[in-house]
Amino acid sequence: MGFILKDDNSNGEPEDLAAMIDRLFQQGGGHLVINMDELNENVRFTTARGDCAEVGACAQPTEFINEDDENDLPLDGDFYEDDEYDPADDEDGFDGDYEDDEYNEDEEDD
Amino acid sequence: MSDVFCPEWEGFTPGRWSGTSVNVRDFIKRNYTPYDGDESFLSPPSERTKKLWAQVLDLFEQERAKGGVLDMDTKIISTVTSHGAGYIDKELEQIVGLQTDKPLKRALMPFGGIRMAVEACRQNGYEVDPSVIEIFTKYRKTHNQGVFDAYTPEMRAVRHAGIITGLPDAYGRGRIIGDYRRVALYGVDRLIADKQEQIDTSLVRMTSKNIRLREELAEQKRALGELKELGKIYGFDISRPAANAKEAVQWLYFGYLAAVKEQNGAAMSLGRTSTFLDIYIQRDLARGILTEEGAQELIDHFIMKLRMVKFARTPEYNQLFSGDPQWVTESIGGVAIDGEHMVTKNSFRYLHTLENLGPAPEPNLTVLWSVKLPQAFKRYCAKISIQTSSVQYENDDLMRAVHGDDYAIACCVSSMRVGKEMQFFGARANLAKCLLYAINGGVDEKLGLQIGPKFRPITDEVLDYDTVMERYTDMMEWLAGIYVNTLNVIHYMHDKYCYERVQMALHDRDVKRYFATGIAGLSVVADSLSAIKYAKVRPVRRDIEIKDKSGKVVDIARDVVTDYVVEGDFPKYGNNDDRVDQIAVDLVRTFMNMIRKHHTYRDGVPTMSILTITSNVVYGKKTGSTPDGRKIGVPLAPGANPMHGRDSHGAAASLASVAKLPFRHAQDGISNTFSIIPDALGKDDRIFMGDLDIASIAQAMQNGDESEGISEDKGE
Repeated sequence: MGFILKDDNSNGEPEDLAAMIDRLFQQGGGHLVINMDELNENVRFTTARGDCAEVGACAQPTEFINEDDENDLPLDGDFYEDDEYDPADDEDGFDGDYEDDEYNEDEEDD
Repeated sequence: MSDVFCPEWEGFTPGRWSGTSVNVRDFIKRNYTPYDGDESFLSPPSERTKKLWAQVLDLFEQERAKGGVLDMDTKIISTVTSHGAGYIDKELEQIVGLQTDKPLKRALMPFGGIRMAVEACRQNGYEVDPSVIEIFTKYRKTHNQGVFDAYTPEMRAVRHAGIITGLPDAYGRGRIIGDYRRVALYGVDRLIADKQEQIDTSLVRMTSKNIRLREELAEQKRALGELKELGKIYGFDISRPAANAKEAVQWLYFGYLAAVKEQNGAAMSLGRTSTFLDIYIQRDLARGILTEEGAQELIDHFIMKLRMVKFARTPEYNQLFSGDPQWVTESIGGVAIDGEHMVTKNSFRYLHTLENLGPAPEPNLTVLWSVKLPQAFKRYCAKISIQTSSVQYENDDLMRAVHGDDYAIACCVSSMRVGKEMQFFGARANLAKCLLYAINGGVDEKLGLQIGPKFRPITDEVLDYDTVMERYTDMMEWLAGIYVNTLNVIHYMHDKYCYERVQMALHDRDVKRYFATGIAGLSVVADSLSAIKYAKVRPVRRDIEIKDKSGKVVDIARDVVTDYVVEGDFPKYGNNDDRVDQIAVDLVRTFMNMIRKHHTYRDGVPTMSILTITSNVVYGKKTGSTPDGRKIGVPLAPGANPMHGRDSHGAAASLASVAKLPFRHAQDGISNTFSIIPDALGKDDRIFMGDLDIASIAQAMQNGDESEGISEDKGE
């Protein structure tokens, strides 16, 4: 990310930084992280980042340790081949006739 | 509840909060003392703080020396009351309570997934007791087992391919903030009574929805009873309201402690506690029973406890997140809806802990920044930022319009009204990979597998914008559907097998739920489509070997586009150029509208975030080369940020590009990343955007080159 290098003996300028934050937020920024690092005694660099710090919790990885039945994944990606509705499989005996199938909110099984 | 003004509330201004309703916001508004002064009143650390903190630092050092984990529970399953009292140094601690019976000992939390818990222990040299494994394999189903029972093969495939990543299907989802202040203000008995009233007045028509709610309320009430028990374990009666500042901090902390004993979410945020606690501190100061040094000591000891929160994590998690982050986010300051700022002396005290105890990423101190904040506080925040680099800022003026003045931030940017709203965390969909699927007819460009629906691949020698957009729109529709449905499974099972009893006990009964989704790779896609539209993009096709787990080739995917040759220039996102910025705007709006079309679990309100950096390193690894010229494996640009080095017109232009993104369609946050030259403070035209070769500049400086900053050809 963009680290800036400059000679800075003033130990920062809080007033100006506050004014900068004001301006950035007024321009539409929503989120900000300020980092200061010292490269050597005369050089400081400042980063202002608009994301979740170094790493946000939303970056949590997918845990693949549960995919021990990964071999069951059809290697040719055939999830769709047999995915056709067959009324014969319908346990409720749906005959393809929607006439009496009125939506009942109370039966919504969320 | 009866209308009784408790003796513990003496000195507080009554209101709706003291009547029949649980209303912390009303209590705060009527009783807080805004502070416009500077930091000169602040106190250095007390002797007890210094001694105690030295012990904690020593423990951290021991933990580091042991490879990052000091100790782990392998037999006791963590619940609110599973452990006896634990202390660092009972004589010194002003605020007590540990997750287990020993400091930094990590709890065993199998409800999210037993395999995860076992793996986390094993990687650190510990073995979970076989009896625990047996319980959570034979007798008690976990969230993870439930999810994988319900996942379709297609869901497993998209998870495996990485077009959706970070799904909370193996451990706690986080992003729920219990209103821990309620414990201090009302005491647990009153909260139990309120919860019983919620049960008594809930609907009795036994639909599945109502049955679930009644059961959850019963669990919440039970959890409150356990919370009271937790207080007793440490010798406190938290059935009654807190009577003074020390009790207020302690009661509040017990609420949070119960949450982190029960749940191990990636983000276990604290809420908005600083202004609330200041009310008690101010009362004690006025009564002469507390000094400023004593007040700072309470806060220092409280913060110390928050810095010690730890969870057992897997290696994959630790590889990504260094330093044990918990996102114990505390939201400080802000402005009330009547325009009055909410900065108090305690706002300063919280930030002052970064001076008294040293910088630390936890708790994640977040200033709710508004132009209306007092100038002295703004200056102090900036000073602390410069000194410690440990503060993040949120635009309160933006958030307040949506959430009011009693919201808090979960994690980094997820805002919600405390005790009234919660979020179903939804990880991220990779829109860049989705574009590649559109070009390849659903075939994964890295695996060669048919992951997406079997659309016709694009076979043109030069990509045509209209053709690509047509296929891309269809592929996004598919992705939105599988993404939302996958999240529905996850959150259903989390409620069923890993319910956040304590945190939800500290919410109202009728909670607004946000269904948080996210996208990665926005700028890559915008640039890719821009390249296709304004330049010439030639796909490079090759055959991909499909291998089984043993590495044996079982099939070959023919003519898969795996690379692109770009001829000519094209406008790039981040330079305030409407030709490409509008593409990004349309993408956010389009994908969000596609998500909104789908049923969401418990009618969660869909929101979207366009965020993060490192998740884009992860996504970048899973994403092949893209039509903008980005090569396979290169990290995607963070969030809405333009790809590195492509923003050539300065910060103002980049911000202008990002500002065009419709917040209404991305309410969970939009991010941008930029850099400031300190001597450019006050001069907008010298703000630089993009990358610097820090190593070469550092080398040049060591070689004695007189460099005052960036070279002209790298930026402004």
